[in-house]
Amino acid sequence: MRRGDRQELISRWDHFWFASCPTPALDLVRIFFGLTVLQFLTGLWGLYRLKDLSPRFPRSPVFESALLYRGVPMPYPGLSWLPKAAPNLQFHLELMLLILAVCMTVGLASRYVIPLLSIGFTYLFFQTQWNYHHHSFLVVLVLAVLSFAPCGEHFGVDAALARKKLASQSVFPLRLIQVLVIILYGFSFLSKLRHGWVEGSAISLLAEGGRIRGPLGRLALDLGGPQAMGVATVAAEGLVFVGLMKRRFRLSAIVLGVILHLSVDAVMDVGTFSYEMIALYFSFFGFVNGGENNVLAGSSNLENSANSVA
Amino acid sequence: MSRPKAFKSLIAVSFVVTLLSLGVRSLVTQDTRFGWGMFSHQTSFVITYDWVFPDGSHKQILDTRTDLPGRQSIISGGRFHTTRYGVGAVRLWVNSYLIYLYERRLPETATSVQANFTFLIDREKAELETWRYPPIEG
Repeated sequence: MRRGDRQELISRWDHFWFASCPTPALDLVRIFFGLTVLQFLTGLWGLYRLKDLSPRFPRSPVFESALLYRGVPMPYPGLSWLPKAAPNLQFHLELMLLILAVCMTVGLASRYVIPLLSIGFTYLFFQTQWNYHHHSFLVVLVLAVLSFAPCGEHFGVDAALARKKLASQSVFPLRLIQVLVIILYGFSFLSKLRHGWVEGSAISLLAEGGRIRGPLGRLALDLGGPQAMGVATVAAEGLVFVGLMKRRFRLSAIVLGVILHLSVDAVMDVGTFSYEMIALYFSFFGFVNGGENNVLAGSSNLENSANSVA
Repeated sequence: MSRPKAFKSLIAVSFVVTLLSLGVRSLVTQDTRFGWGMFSHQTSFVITYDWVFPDGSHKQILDTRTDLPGRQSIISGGRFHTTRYGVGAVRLWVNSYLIYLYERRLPETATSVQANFTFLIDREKAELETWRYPPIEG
């Protein structure tokens, strides 16, 4: 590789990961992802059960799971040293997470609150059945990224009280979240490229197992049928995956993604996963077509950097 | 490149490599946890657990559910289960449970514990796998 090419590659790498970002995208992610953590802790999700939806706190089923590994070795090597939370401590842990999630959402002491929330959530993730669930794993990853990100600069108590504001933010944490979202869609799409999803038996099995629920679930099965639902899901995931990488299609991909996730939440129990994904779309705020005040427009989008690396 | 940038670059590369590795692991091992293979396939299965004695005879363990509170009962013995986490996840859970049975409940006369795992992926051909703890050498 010539010296010039190498310099160009480094310059594009720098621009992709380290450019400054004047948009409040990170703060929007903080607010909306904080809301999803609150949903997680209070059981407030599921359009499929909209009529019966009510908050539950303490959400004891979460902490029943702390007992689930009673006597059974953790399947993760190196984690046996983790102390088990005593039952009387579990309520306090749950309460602490709830308070921290409220503080995160309103942007109060974000620099300290989000790392604490991340540690508390990750502890429970590894100790309980949360580690089975994709939506819990996503919370762990995103909170870990936000722990090290200045995401209290706009729209919150910290921002209102701050005497001095950051002139600009680094795009680095946003890029980590964007890459996470794209990889997530990529593997979700790849894993569904199976006969069962295209031909509809995957949806039939979910329906027979009682996983397709609510009036909209029944309506979708009656109107579209399992095959149409399967093909639509796989196609939507594939289109969102490709669309998010291409600036031209990013807005359309986000709209399609929102429709996909709300539709899934209306017919199945997938925990807070749908809302988490919608919250993470805010990481693309300012990275779609039409962002005129976006200094990143034109040269630092994902596809350019991908091309340059290639 | 400055030191902070080099450090952040290392974090970025590690993050991407970890996510990609978890995704590939999920596809290869058919364990959808950590790999974003949500609902990719449905695994239906039945497991039975046996004590194995020195003479090679087996005796089925009938009270596995009492050891498996809550959702861990997804691997309880003698019952029909389905999971969306994939056959790879069930393998890990069952092997973890075999270790527990061996360490906490092994009768004095038994030498090992065995799981007989019959499963169908998306209701296609049934397969049987047998695992023993401690594993048979050779």
